[in-house]
Amino acid sequence: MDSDCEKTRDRIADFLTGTLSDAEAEAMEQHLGVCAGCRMYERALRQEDRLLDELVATFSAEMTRREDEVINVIGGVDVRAAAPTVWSAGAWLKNLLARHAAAAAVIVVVGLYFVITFSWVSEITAVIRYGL
Amino acid sequence: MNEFSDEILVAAAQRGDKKAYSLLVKGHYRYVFAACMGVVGNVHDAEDMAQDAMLKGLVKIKELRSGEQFGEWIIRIAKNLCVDLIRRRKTARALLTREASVPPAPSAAGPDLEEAIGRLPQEYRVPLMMYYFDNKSAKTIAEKLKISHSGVCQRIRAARRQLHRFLSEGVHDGQ
Repeated sequence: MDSDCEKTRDRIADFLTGTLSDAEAEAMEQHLGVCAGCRMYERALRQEDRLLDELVATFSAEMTRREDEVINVIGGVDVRAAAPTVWSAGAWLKNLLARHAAAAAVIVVVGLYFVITFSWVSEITAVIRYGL
Repeated sequence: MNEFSDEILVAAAQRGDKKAYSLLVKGHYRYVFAACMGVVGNVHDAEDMAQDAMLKGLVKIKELRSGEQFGEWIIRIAKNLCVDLIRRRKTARALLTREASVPPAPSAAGPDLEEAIGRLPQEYRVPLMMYYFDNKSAKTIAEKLKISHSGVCQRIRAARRQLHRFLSEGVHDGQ
């Protein structure tokens, strides 16, 4: 196995996980096209990738049952039946977007207050100064 | 996936809303299970540890300052519980038997994937398990485990190489 093969085998897992750049992936494909040893290694890793997928799929098939067991233990109800009552003012204000909206609303109200107040003041001043 | 953010659900759970906590369980259990599987290396213990972590999370939820950090926080709790379990077992084994260091005999049925995963070092097994449980997204794992994206890729790469070696050993030994 030459140094090219060493480098290639080190990156075959990355090739399969899709983390190589386009240029690197192209170089990898070229090497795999001419090197039977690395091609065999790549096939073996692909096969193991499928086995890992299958293993996780068998674990995942039981995941909902496990989650429900935990929920039962914590005394929760069936979460698919009802949504939680989480829309309290405190929780709502904790939402970043809501906080920004609230701040903007406060600025607008304060601004309007000043505009209205000062327009009244200038009107009253004009009345006092020049009469009706 | 539910429509509420972790921040909202954590805030509600901190006020004692168990339904909100149930939704957090639904959203995070598989990652907690994957992390446990990565540390303990077998399904049975991973199930127990993931359940214990979720219960401990409920008890300690008021200590969590930022709801956005729930995923990372609950995985840390789970990993600590798994490490405690391994430590307790090691101590118990050391007390009960002097043959603890004898490696298990290779399976007669040939290379076993679960067995090979169990032989991987914990630092490789955790990202590898989470990678396969999390739709193969190295980016999400990096966020959950608080390590760099390249660090996750490097560990997955090393895990795959070792796993291949373990599985090949079984094949070659059997021939």
